[in-house]
Amino acid sequence: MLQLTSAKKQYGEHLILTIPQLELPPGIFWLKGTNGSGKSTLLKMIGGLIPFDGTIQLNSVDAKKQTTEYRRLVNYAEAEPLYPSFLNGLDLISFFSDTRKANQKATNELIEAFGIQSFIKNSMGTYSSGMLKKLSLVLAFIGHPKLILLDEPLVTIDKESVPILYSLVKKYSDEGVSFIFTSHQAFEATNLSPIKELEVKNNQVCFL
Amino acid sequence: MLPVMKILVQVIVQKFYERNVGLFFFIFYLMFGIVESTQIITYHLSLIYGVLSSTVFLLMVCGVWVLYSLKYLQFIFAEFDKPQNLFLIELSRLDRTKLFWILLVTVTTIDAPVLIYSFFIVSVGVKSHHYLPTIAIIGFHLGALLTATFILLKRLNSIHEKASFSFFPAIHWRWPKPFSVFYLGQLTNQLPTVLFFTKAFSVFAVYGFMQIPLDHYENRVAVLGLLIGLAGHAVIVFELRKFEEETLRFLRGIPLSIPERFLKIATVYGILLLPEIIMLTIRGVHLIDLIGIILFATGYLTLNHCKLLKSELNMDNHIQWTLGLFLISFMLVLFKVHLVEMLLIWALSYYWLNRDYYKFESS
Repeated sequence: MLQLTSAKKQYGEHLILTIPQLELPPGIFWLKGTNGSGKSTLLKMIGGLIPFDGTIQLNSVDAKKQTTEYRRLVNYAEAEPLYPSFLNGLDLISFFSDTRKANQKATNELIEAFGIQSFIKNSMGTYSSGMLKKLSLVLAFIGHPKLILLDEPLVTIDKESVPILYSLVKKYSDEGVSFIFTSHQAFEATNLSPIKELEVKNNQVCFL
Repeated sequence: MLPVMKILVQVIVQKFYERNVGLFFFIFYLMFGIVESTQIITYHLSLIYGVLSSTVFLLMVCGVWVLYSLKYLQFIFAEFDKPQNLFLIELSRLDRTKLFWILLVTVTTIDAPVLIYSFFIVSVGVKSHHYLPTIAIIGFHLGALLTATFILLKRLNSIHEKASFSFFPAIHWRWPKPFSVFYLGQLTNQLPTVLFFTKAFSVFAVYGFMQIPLDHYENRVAVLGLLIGLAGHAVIVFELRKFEEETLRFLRGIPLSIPERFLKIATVYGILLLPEIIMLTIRGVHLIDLIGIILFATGYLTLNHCKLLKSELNMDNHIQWTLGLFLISFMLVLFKVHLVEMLLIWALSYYWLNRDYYKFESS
């Protein structure tokens, strides 16, 4: 269960989000909203990547008070991932696997699933935006998360990778992992459990 | 101003000065801030006469100018290679002579700080009848400016052929990369000139101070020299923090505890200080003092890093802080209380990291 209580984000005087109370049970959530409505900001707040006012808890683990434990439960993939150009994909995968105490076999399966083994040892400065996106998706699934946040996961990846992503979401979801994703395109996988829709509008988040 | 010139000023010149504002501030302080205002003219005249009357000194100064030229050329090349600046390829469509003059003006504008100081050297040289070194300096600058312009001209005409260029070869790590390499790799691959200048300056400062003749062993000489070197790391610390915010932002989502993060950051700076540690060892600093100095220096840089979590990343503020800490530390070393300072530095670094790491957000 993800709980947001009096969660607020503002830059100076500019209010981005204010969420008095929001409870999300386990499941798959599609976060909708117009450009600039605050979808990515909300994901970053939940991911513990940016400071915010209020409380966010996942399974009673507090994002502010139990920072390490919370980050073990939540994985996040950026809409436009940015990584050091002098590192290669394998460096990052090894680092993430190490810090998240991931199963090596599961990590290798992810690498194979997205077909990134051909360029994984090249420095990331040579990657296209699609390759970076695939890498970021692999990183998002590494470890033992309870919640995976995917910001625009369908953008820039090739059409062959889309069903792979769907099948991974299905597999992890069946194992009890929750997902929140933003996308301007519909999630078309019909074999996924019901996708609940949320909308960020007028600085607030509500169920549709 | 020509529209093309205006673009180059905005994309290259302005950016170069913005990027190096800390370095300029620091050099300006070294040149004008450490001498009493009443003695500035005498101080600089002594320096200038030294340059004009000693061939070795003149060659050393020319060496520094060459390094500066390499630094700005590398910066311009890096800017040319950035995807957002790919439109600069349009410059190659200009008439070659016109492009030559535009590039010459660009290079001259970037070289201005060196040229302005050289103007004073030349003026003193003419007045004091040191004609040969004066002509050598004029010839050097003309040669350097023309060479740089021709190099840029050639580069612009082949901008599509080469992905990157570096005067200082970047170090590529071929073995599994630990956390420290995430930071140090940025220096070796993206900022090799800054790294080279900083380390050379720092090691030289340690060496210089340890040359001071004393009739007994005194560990404070090493610490004072190192302090100057540490202050010279201001740009590196700032660049690493900026890199952390811009490119390593994913680290914030990694399940690492604050003590783990703290140790990893301190390790980065510990490794960065290896050249100074080697120099101190070679110069015969006692082992127990060496351990103390390493802890002091590592804590010092870690503190500067953690300080940058407190407020917006602003180079001017950072330089002021660096100089303030340097002056305070200098006094504390003189009063032999730097070991107490070391403990305070470590405690404060951890306190700031713990308090501000998850609170910081760059705008």
